[in-house]
Amino acid sequence: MMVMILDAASISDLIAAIISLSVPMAFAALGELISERAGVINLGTEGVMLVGAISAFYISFFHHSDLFGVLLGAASGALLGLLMAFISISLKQDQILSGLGIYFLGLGLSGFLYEAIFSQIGSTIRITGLPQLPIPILSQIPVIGASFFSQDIIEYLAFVTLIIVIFVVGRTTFGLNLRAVGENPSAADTLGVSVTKIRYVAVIAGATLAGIGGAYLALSSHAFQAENITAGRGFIAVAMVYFGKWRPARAFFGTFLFGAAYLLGAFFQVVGSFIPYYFLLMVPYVLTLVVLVGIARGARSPSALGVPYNREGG
Amino acid sequence: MVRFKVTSRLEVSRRSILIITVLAYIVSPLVVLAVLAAAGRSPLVALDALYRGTIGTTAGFAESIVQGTPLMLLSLGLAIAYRGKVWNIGAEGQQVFGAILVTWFVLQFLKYPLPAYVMIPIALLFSLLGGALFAGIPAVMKSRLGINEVITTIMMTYVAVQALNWLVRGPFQDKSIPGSYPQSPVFPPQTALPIIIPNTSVTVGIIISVVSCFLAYYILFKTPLGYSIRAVGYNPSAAKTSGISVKRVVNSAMILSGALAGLGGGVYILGVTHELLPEQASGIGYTAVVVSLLGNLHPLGVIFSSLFFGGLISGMSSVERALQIPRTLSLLSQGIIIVLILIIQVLARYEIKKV
Amino acid sequence: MPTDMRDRSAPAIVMQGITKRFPGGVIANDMVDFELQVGEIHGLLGENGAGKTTLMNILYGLYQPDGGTIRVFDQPVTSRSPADAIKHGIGMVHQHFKLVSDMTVAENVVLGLKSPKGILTDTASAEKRISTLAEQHGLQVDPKAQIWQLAVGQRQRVEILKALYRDAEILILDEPTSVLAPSEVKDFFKSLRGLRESGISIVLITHKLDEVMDVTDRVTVLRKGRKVATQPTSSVNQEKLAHMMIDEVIPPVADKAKTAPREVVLQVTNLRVFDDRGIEALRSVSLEVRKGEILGIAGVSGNGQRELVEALVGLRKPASGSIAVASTEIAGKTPRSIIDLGVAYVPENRTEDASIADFCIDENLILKDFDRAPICGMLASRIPTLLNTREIKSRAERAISQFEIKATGVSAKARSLSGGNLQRLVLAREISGSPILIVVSQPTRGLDIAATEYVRSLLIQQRNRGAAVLLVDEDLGELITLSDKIAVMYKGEIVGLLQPGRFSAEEIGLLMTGAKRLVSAA
Repeated sequence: MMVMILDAASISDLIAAIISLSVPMAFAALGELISERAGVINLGTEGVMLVGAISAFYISFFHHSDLFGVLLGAASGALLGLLMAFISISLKQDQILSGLGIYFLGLGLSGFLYEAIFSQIGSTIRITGLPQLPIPILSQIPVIGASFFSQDIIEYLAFVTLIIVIFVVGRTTFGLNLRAVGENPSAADTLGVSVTKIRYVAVIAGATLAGIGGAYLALSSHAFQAENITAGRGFIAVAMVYFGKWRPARAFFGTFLFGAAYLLGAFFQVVGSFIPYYFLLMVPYVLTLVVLVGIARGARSPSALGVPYNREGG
Repeated sequence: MVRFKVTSRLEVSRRSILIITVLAYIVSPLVVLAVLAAAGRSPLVALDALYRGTIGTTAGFAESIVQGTPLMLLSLGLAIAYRGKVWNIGAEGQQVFGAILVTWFVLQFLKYPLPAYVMIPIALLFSLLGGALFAGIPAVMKSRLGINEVITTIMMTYVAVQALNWLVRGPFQDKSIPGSYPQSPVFPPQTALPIIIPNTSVTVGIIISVVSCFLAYYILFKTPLGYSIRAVGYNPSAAKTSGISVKRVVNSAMILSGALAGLGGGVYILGVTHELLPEQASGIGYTAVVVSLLGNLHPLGVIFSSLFFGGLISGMSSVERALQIPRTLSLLSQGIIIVLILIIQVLARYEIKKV
Repeated sequence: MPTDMRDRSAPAIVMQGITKRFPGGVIANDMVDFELQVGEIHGLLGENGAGKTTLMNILYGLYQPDGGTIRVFDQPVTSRSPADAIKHGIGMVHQHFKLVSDMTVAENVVLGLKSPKGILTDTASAEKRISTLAEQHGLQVDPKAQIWQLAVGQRQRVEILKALYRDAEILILDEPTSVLAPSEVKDFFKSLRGLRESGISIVLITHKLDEVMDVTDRVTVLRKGRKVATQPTSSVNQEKLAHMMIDEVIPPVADKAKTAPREVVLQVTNLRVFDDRGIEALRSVSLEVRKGEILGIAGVSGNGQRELVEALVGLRKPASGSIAVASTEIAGKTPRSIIDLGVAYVPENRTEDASIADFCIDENLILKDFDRAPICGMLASRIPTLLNTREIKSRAERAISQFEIKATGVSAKARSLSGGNLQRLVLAREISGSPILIVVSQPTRGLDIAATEYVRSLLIQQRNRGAAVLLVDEDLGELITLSDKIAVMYKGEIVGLLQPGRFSAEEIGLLMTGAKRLVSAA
């Protein structure tokens, strides 16, 4: 499933692999962070990633355009985000339940679409991945050059997105309003800020990023497995926001820890070890649990996170 | 542009909840048929297959019950947990672990099995224990450290599934047959749940499930434990101020739901498969989330919603066979249904006015 | 409406025939007319629940009226949200401040506004402008400070600056003095007069008669959703106003029987408690409450009262020190064990901490003892079994009649009860067990006069029965009426312990603001 790293001694290959494995989660984590800073927790991220993945897979296979695949992934993410926003904001349903609904919907939709479209074509369907785009001069730097500066375009986009998110959330008026809505929506409301509008934008933007993450996952995996291409990455991304204490850079780089964890399983599958293969597959999940325990104390979430906003208290 | 305003109703009548629920029951199969029609298949053929697969034939009816039985136990557990606002999404992992523990127990007595009236109760007890223990970790993480239980229970499920994969290919694998199959040895007949409808797979499991629902009803509404779970679910702050130990309630709700999930896994393995297979992780734990919602988180409502869904699953298999449709259709329908339920339930609890 | 288009020769605000109904049949405003002249301070007077805040919330666009019209500077307006009201030049300072505590003053002020730098926030120019406005109107505050660092009086200034920054010419202030000490009130009124001189028209929502007489030019009285009268302040006095506000016969507060000092029920020694941010909220506080005595805790909110109460009822663990109830040490113990010693607690937030909105009256009444006899059947006197529905129902029936709870029945949800009835429910539960110590916080907040008097009588009754009562109250007048002794808290310490009869409200106010300290004079 993953591009195998046979030459483990090559550190730059290692770094490149980790980045590649982490980018989908990194996108999803950034997206979830935007949503949560506005006060909405979106547990449907996993489902959104799945839909993004199948969208990109479809476009890539039939129309041989990776970029349009990513675009469709983003668009389908936005649509699911719109649905999530509608249920949790306008209908004021419990955010946890709404998110789970999106998760199941995404799970079912992606699986169904894959079988409906591809089952007649054959058993193992593969697509070509994205080409690498080395940055001139910088890519000559030993170790870092071959990995960090020789990524494909979406990987670069991930880092650019991080910078954009940091900038928007911290330095723009929109970011200010967003943070206020997540901490004290009533305060924002009485000053004429539309809590509904900001939360809608935040949730849709977040889901769009998750869709891109899912799209990239399909493109970098070169294959699609109905139920498990994401294997919990969406939920890990949500955990990463918590882990990063709702700061963009921390959440972003936190996902790299997990990219490394996924890599471990793939690595040992090839090399072979005394640890049973399936135990290695458990590593990302156990790691999430350990990490959550480790940073449990002292994390302060946005004060209004998880609470639907009601102006008249009704 | 037309503007809407959503305000909550002051009194939500039981009648409107009932009407809305029935509405959801009716809409769900319609949704499935609509999806089929969209996929270019004949709804009439589908409808016929659906009917035969659910209540039209004895085989269909029995299958509905068989599918609904473990679902009932899992959904019941979730209903209790959700009443306490403990969002246990790991019923899947808990039922798998329950089955794992049952398998371990049975394998000890593979050569010299004890009589059924000893083996079965103890095995079921192990399944309860397995589910409870497995839920214990997320429980403690939430009550002591305040860690979101949705993420932890989902992570635990992935762990359980990998553990299952490992066990059926490793320590629990049936080494007595040639070749290497991911399955445990077949359980001795002394562990099989007695069948109550001849020539079917309907076992006492359904009785256990229904009785559990009635027990749960009493516990939830007539005992202090149930009262405290509901109180914490509605308002943890007021509950804590009044002396209720929120930690203890969260633990109880989580572990209780885990135990019931484990029991569901046990009922499934002792009643249907009679061996440990990778298919034990069938996704039933996720379906149970939908079913518990459809049952309005009420123990008695769960009886209906789980049998309904069991029928839906059985009916869908029948439709799949009749129309040659992929299995993932049920997955899709589930997803649509849960979203629909969330939207429909709004009608009961809120008024939507034009502004 | 652009600032220069406002017709300032017309009245600032004209509201006609405003009607507002809430779900449940409550008519908060019933054909109310209200008019605000330019450059006046207009008092909006009425008891709690009369509809004053609702009327102003409608003006500010937070609520939509069911009927009536509004004109601002002679332009008909419909404010669908505060954004509209702000555009028309209206600013509102709510009773509970709407500030984001982790953000700075400047950030809070510019929230929702377009920045001069386009999409980038421009805190520097905002800070400058805020300082200028602050100087101009005597509302000094540090624009770079984060809200959580500010005292209550300063936060109020931020709220006013928020409105002024947006070129508000009409200011609505909702019970602004409820969070201030008496001396701070004087300064506050001075600022108001200053604002009036600058041409700002002010609506002062209040239920305090002395304030109306002190600072307003005209006053409008509301009663039960209807307007009673509008008069120039010079033509009325407190008696006339009181008469307009209420017309019911109010049972007098029960007399406090004079008693000789009895044994100590609550003994607090050198208590140190930290708040959620790790700041020391209580610094070595010591106090005692005796049987049959009401100890009032006076102080501006935010000086450690909340942490004191939480430590007493087991919701917060003290860092050091001792709390003893009837000689039993309870510091750090769970709420359960403290309740079992006979401690009752009436929290200031009824709906959040004292009751469960979706539970019925009968279910709310058993919150503290649902797992013991007689509410619950017991096995071998130790193991709880089933809830005794008959007992539960009869307890609810008794409570409803004894405490005069107006509700549709024992199965009415707590959500459907009015503030006064909800408080009766809470008191019914807390007092029924004849507790030895009652901790009560802001007991009459938001209650109408009838309910207020009822609650006060009840507390006196309990005191006469022999309970020890610790009363935390921002309403200084109420505190003075009810307490046998008053302890004044300032910045986490007790700066004075005195008998209410011997000191005036002003003097107590000085202690509340830390201007004076008093060695025990009780």
